[in-house]
Amino acid sequence: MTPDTIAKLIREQGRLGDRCFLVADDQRLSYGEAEARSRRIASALLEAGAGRGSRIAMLFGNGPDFAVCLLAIARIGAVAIPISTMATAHEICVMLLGADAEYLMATPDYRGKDIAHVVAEAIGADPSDELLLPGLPVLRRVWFGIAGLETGGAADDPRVAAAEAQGSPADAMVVIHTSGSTSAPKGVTHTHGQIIRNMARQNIQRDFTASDCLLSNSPWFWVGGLAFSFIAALVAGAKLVCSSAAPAAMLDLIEAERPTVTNGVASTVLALARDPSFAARDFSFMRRGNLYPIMPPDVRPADPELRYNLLGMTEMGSVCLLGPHEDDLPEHKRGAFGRPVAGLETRVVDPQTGEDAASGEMWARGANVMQGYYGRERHECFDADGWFHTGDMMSIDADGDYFFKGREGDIIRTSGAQVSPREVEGAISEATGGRMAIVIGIPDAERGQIVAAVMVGDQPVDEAALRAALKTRLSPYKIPRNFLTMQEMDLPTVLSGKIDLKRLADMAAELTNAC
Amino acid sequence: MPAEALTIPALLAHRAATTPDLEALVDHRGQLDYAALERRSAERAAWLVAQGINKAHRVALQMENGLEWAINAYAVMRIGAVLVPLSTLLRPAELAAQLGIGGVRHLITTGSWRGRDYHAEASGLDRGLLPSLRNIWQAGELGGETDGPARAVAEALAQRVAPADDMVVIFTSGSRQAPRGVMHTHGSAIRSIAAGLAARCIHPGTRLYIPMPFFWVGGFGMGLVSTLVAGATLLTEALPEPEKTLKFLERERVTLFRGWPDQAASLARHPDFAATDLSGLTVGSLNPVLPPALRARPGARANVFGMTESFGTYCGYPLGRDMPEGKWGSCGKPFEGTRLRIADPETGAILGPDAPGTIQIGGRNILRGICGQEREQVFTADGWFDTGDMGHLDADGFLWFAGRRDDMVKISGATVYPSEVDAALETIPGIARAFATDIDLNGKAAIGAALVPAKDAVLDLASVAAAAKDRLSAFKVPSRWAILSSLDDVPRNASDKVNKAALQALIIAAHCDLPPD
Repeated sequence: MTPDTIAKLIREQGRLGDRCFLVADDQRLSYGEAEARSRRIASALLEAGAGRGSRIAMLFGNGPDFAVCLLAIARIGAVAIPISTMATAHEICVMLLGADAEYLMATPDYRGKDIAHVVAEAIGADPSDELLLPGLPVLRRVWFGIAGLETGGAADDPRVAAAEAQGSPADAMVVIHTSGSTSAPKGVTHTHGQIIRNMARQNIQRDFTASDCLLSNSPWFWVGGLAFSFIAALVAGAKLVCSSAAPAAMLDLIEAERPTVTNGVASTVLALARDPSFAARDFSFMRRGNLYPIMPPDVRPADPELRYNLLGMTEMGSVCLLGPHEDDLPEHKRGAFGRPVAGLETRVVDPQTGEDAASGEMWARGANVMQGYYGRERHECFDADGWFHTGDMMSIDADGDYFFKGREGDIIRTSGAQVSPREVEGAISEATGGRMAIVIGIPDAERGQIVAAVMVGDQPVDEAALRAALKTRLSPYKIPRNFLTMQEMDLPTVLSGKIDLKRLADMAAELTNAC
Repeated sequence: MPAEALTIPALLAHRAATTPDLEALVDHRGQLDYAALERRSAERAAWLVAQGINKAHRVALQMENGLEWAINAYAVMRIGAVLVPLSTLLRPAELAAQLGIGGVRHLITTGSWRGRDYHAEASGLDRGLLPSLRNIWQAGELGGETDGPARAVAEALAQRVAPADDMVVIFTSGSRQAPRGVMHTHGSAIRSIAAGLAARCIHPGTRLYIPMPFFWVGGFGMGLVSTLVAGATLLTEALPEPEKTLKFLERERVTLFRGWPDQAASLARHPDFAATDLSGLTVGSLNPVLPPALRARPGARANVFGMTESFGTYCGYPLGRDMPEGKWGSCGKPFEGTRLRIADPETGAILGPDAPGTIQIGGRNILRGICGQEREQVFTADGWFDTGDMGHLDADGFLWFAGRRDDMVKISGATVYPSEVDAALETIPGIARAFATDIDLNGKAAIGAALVPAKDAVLDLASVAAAAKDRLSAFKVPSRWAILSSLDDVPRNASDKVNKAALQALIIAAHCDLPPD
């Protein structure tokens, strides 16, 4: 049986000794080191006064420091609050305050960014002091770097074992902030038991085992990286490789570490595939995953939209829709997202009537679903029957496969008809040979909204030809009335790099009105 | 109570602003008005912050009822730390277990009381097994701070407490199973109390006496938090003793007497009772202490019904009024914010009106969870809590309690709830109280009962048995009887609940069997 707390899990996996757990560019961490180093930091945290339920924010990029801090926090029954390395001073302040962080552990710098300076600005005081600040009334202490904690902690502190013995799978383990592509970040609480069991189940479904090596650059401060990469690897006893190096060096690392599985956002590895050295490299060790541009031709899909997509959500503890296989799909399955993972009960509901529907909003409940949003009452997070309303519009086909139709708020309502932006984007992509478009609704006095497409890139759009091509694919009401062009770098984004659809719609409305 | 006052600091501020001179709490030693409660809890909170207490820290309080209990408790809750009231009945090993389960970071104990040195006992605990426990203080050592950075931070913490924040971990008394730490948020606890006040006849200005310890929900929720929410006064004693209690209640002009019926009955039996002026008592008080003209007829008033997991009462009917005809003996209807349903104890299927099953509660007033248990262990998939109580809802939405599921016994394959037998026997003239239970009679499960006769009554067992047969199906009629001389002979455990094993032994030892027909 899989251990159900991080303390039990790292004790068990620590027995793997020198087996490699993490590779982050030139830094490596074995399972034995992860156990021993996190044990010392756990001791130092107890000595500093932290304990069960203490809320400890941590600001690190992917790497051994993140790993041993997270494990140490979880081992003593404290709650980790990961913060993005991209966060601004204001955003850090909002998260520390909103999540009631009592301590902050941070890297002093990250990829040239002076994090210590940003943190000092965030808290508006000298972070080296014991803190009593009315503006951040829960925060007491900030640590930069972990060297002091590691040398200060005892390797054989019996209090660590005692704290671990009191731990329970019901204990809160992390508060993960949503990236907030449509609203302000919310802190999502998950327990030890639910994340570990969820990843243990998904590892079986992914066939992810101790003999695997996973390549993933998903950041661990968000749920995809934290659960689907980091905890999944820890549960499996596998090796996890990540990199923030330049393309050639990252390709060298991949060649040396030989990952068998890849996971992440394909667009982030396009630069690798374009590197001059890429063509001569043999990556035949990669057998599964979704970083298609760098995978060997025999396992790469003919068309990425004809492979099962993954759907992850912070509130679901990472992946919630997963395909039953990694083979190419027939054309009628284009864009399919697979099926709900174990530990999740789902419904697709017409939001107007609350009745089950073939197409509608996905609702979920069950073991994988968050405990709640930090600071909000249960009835503000779930309906009276315990359902979480995801806001994701889905349809289900006869096989039970889910198809993403857009966010509930993104559905465009024009002259009484509903238009799924995703469907129109897919049609534009087909008609243009793969040009990226973002389809949005622009407020319109007569129709409510009109459908508009922002064509990404600097090539001009032959509107007449595109409209003609779309007519064969889409009902007339779905065809954009307005086409705009915008450079990729000009697209408004939120912190996580996702496109800020609300601001884009505002910009598009302005451009349209100016015409 | 303003609708937005769903946190303890907001309620304290509201009371201090609107009823500053009203007495919040009175004990044998003195009184505190709401302005003083606000001021002294704020000073104590600042001192605690200066010692390292912070939001979400669990802070245990093990002391007897009194003004200091309230000041410490409100100091903890007003800054968003989580109060963990602990029983003064706990022995050191039990104390260590609850400190561990509760994740307690700081412990405040009383000093010497009733022959025990609580601070010395706590200081003797093996701290190596309690790595998160940072401080143990004796209540008398605690200070207060009127200014400085800790005071400013304590005020800022009070401003930020939200209804979703945990307020308290209350341990169940554990009469049937190991004590469980039940977690309530400010929102759930305060909503639950507010919903029941009118039915419980607690109004602005009520002077409530409730002889229950603050470390259980009966004293803490039904007493302390109830009076804070209502703008009323709580009269409390560290150690109720009938003679002193009667003087206290007369001096303090009690208007509402709640608690366990046995406590009221034992006060009414005291020789000083007749000469004590309790003329301020109003309807809603327990029958034995009321003048005959104000007493309710048996069954006419609701059995207000609740548990730690619902932060006290969740169901009832205005105690000053008789329930409608046909509803006598019921528990009334759920209070606002609580949802009730009945489920099949085996399959979990939800049952319709009048079908007996297990009582489940839902809505915004119920517990957030239980320490160390996952949501799936505590709640149904759709978020309801199974109370373990059995009963049914009638078509008008009244709840009828049958008994605890754990107490349900099978006699020759048929279901019997001992509480149902008790209720039937207590309608027989001459019987004051009845305590039925299942017993092992020559290797066969049977019902036995211990009876406490009414004052001056002499019980004839043959006629009692005959009367029982008129009132109960044959398989529910006790096979063996014990007659006790007074209520004090009922065996009880430390939490004052009936000790079932001792009761069974007592009845078996009585050797008094039902006369043959």
